[in-house]
This record gives sequence, structure tokens and C-alpha cells, in this order.
Amino acid sequence: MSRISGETLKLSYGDHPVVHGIDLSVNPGEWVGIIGPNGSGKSTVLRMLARLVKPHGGKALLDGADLATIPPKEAARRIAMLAQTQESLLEVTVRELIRKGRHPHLKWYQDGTAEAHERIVDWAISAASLEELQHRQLPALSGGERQRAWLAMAIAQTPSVLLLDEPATYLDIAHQLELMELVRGLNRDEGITVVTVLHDLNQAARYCDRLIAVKDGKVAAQGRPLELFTASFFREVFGVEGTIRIVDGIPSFQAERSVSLKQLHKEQPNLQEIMS
Amino acid sequence: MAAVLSPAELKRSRRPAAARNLIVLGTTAGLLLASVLFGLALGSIRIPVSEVWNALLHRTDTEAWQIVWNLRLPRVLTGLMVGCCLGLSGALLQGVFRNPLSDPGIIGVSAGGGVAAVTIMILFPVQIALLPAAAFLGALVASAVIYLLAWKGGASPIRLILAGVAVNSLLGAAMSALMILNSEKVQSVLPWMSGSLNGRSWPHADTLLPYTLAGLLAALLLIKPANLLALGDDAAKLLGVRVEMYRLIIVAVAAFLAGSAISQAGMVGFVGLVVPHIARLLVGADYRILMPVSALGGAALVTFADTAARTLFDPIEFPVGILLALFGAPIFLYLLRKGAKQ
Repeated sequence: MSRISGETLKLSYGDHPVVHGIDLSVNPGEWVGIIGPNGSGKSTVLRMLARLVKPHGGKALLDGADLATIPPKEAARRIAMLAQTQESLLEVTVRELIRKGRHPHLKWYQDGTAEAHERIVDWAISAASLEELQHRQLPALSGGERQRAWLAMAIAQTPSVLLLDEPATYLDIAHQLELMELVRGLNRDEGITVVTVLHDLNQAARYCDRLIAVKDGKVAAQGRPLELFTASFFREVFGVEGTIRIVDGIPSFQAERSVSLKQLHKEQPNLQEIMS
Repeated sequence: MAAVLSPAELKRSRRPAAARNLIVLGTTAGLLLASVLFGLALGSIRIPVSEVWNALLHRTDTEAWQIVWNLRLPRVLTGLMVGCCLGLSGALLQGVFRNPLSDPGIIGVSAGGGVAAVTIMILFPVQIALLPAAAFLGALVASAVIYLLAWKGGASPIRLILAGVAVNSLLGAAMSALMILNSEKVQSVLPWMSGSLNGRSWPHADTLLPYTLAGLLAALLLIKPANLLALGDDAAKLLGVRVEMYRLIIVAVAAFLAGSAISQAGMVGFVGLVVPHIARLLVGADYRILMPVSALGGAALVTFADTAARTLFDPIEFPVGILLALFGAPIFLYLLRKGAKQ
């Protein structure tokens, strides 16, 4: 049985349909990447799996049960998510933030300072290499450190599924790799199922077991990176042409020209002509 | 390889000394005690603090005892509770709106209470005894209206603030219209509009006490949800918090607290904005410490300010609300600049 899945997921903003009928399924322990052009609906799909958005049609399932029927706290014990950006001015220490990750496991009168919870917080702090920073205030951290702190909070929930929405977008290349390696460790060593929306196609190919490409609110293609990375795939889904290289069984793509922009150029008058 | 820590060391490494917070809490409590003693000692007749203390402990029926027990104590306690309610209300709202500029006025408490009070004072002056109840109900009704206007599958903080500003200006206009059409009766309304504790005695304090205690208890129970909502809506939802439900409860409790305060003291502004803000600068955003510091700080501020309003211009009694804004605003601006530099 799949760990987390979507059945004909549908959603529209007003009259504008964003996601129309997406099926996807992720196996336990798998790392799946969702890729696609801007506005394809990929982040919306992830937010439906995270129960941040209720699907207008279809349903999201966790271990075979409809997510909408699982009580919020119970769901939060099993699914955690790291978003692209966070409340950056929040004045709490890193450790206090990570302690919040224990909330789904606490009764209303408990504050999570019991030894069993503190041990999990210690584990999350060490997994994210935050030992030195744990008593610093969040606004005093760099973007990469802050993102690691929020990831540590998510894993302190001890979820079986971790969702990531373009987690590395605002990080420099070194911090991007650091974060991805950290997630890889969680995926391989702790068996956490990971679903990531990714912008960087080469990072997606490097880290994910399987990729699902979304375009215009539908699944356009899916498969292992090596099967998926073909010239026709990039032309049809992203509208670009370029070169595919394979090193150590990991494909990478170098974009060279945009298919759609080439047509635009024909009709575009020259700026010099307009100004003369 | 990290060294193995002893249990005591481990505890310390997990909870670095919160000494600073305890110092702030202790200082605020000390200020409150001092403000109460000052309030009882100062006035047109000065009573030495030792005698105040004596009068509090033993019934002596002397003149000093009469003044302390029958004149000053009820007024001091009313002011104390008013300040406590406003401080808590502001602390709750600033957290739930994630906006340091929100205060009880923004959810329509003052405008709703104001319209109700002005209506009673100008159109039905015979029913003046109903004023506190009417102001309280007006405050709650306006808050409910603002919440309903902001609701669209959920009430986001920004929509609540916008609806609050709109309803406030509408009700403000209604209040002005009432006063202009009845300009001969405005004199009686003015002290209430600026917030005054003039002539408050035991019935006022007795009325306010159960409301203050209920609001205080509710606020303390909301510490944990308030801390979780501060993470942002998405983050709180991801942790399994029912965000919309708790936001509604917090706004309702804040309206209840501020409505209780203005029902007895009129529209005392400023406290709900400034006290939690300063508390936040001193102790940070954790409601476990922010909530008690805001409650004690609000109580101390109003008690001090009312004593000053009573004595500085003797024999004229100044409305405490005016004094709070007059001296409070510059101090607040100074603290903001200082806080921004750190």
C-alpha cells in the first residue's frame, strides 16, 4: 500500500482551475520529486497532501485512509512539512522552535519538557547540526541556518512522511546541498518517506528515486530520473531544448534555448524602431 | 564526539538560565505593589505609607482608615483591574494578529462600547445606571460584527484588521454625529470618552472582579495556543492546531477583557497597545512570560497614572486616559527607538 497518495485531486481558485484530476502515489521509504513549470499546480498538490488546502474534488490518502477524516493532531504526528519561507521575525530560540514540533504528541496540559520529548528534540538538533545554535534567537540566524531550524522542528514531529516545498530556493548553492544531504540522511537512515517540490531539475534528478512532472494541473509524465530525462520530455513539459548528460548514472540537463520564446521573438518589434 | 553530560548539566544546556525574565517579572510585580501603596498614600490628604499598611491590616475606624478603605482602595483596585484587563487583551491580540500595532481598539471594542455609552448618556440619561452593561455589550457586539465581516472561509489577521478599521471609523462617525446633534450634553460624555476613574468605588471594583478573574484565567489557558499561532497559520496547522477555532477564541477573550475594562473606566486607550509591546521588547515573544508581565505591567501603569491624574493638578481631577497618552506616547516612542537599535 502506498504511504501517501492523491486520487483525482482537483482544486480551483475562483473560476480558475489550478489542479484538475491528479493521481499520484508514493511508496513507504521512497523519495519522490514533483517538478513542473511555474503555475503548473505542483505546490498546490503538495499543500493538499499536507492538508493545508482542502481538495475541491478527489481525496488525499495517508496509509489508505482519507486525510480529511484523520483528526488534525493525529495527522500531524504522521505528516510534517517544510515550506519555502517561514515567519522570519519570530523571536524564539532555535530550541524553543524545535520543541514546538512535539506539540502533536502532547496533551493540552503538557509542555513537552518530559525527558522522552527532550531526547527527541536533542536528536532533531543533532540531525540538523544545530547544537551550537540551539539557544540563539531565530532572527539572528542566516537564511540557511533558519531553514535548518524549521526542518529540525518538522522532524521533531517524528513523522513518517516529510513534505518539502522548494526548501532550498532562497539558499546559496552550498546551503542547498547541505539541506538536500540532510534530507537524504533522513530518507535513507530513518526510512522517512519524502515528497519534494523542486525547481532545480538537476537536483531533483540527483536526489529523488522518482520524479512526477506536473503541467497545467495534470501529471504530464513520471518515472525514474534516468528514464524521464529525454529531449522530448524537456521540450513538451518545460518548452526548452538542451543537452542531457549522464554521469555515474545520474542524468543532468543543460538548457540551451526556449522553444516558446523563439516564436515570441518573431512578433516582437525592435526597441530602437519604437523609439525612433 | 560530544562529552556525556550529567543530568544537571544536560538540563542547563536544554534550558539556559531564564534569570532575565524572572528579574523583569519580579520588577513588574514590585512596581505594581509600589503603585498600589502610592495610590493609597497620596491625595489631598497625605497618609504615610506605614499608616497605610497599618490601615490595610487592622480596622481602626480612624480618618486614615476611612480614606484608605472607603475612598482610595476601591479606586486603586478598579484601576488595577482595568490595567490588567487591557494589558492582557493587547498581548493576546498582538500575538493572534502577528502585528505589533494591534490593540483592543482594532477589534471594535472601543468604538462599540463608545457608541453604546454615548447613546445612553445623551439620549437616555435617566438610564445612566445601565451604562457599564451597555458599554460592555456594545463592545462585544462590535467585535462580533467585525469578525463576521472578516470571515471568508476563515478570518485572516489582515482582513480582521481592515474590517476593524472600517467599522471603527463608521462607529466613530456615529458617535460624533450623536455628540454634535446634542452638543449641550457633551460635557458629561467627555470624561468617559477619554477614560476616567473619577469617583470609582466599591460597587465598580466588585462588578469588575469576577470579569477580571474569568478573563485572566481564560488568558492563561490560551498561552499555549497563542504561542503556536505565533508560528504562522500554515506552521500551526501543520502541527495539528485548529487555527481558526483558536483565533476566534482568542479574539473573543480579548474583546471580553477590554470590554470589561471600558465598561468601568471608559475608553482608556494606549495601555493595550503599549504595555504588551514594551513587555515584548523586555522578555521576548514567549507567552508563558509575556502574559503575566503584560497583566502586571498594565495594572501598575494604570494605577500609577491614575494616582498622578488625581494628585498632580489637585483639586482638578484629570481623566487618567489623557495623562496616559500625554506622558506615555513620548516614553513609548523613546523605547521603540532604543529597542530598534539593539
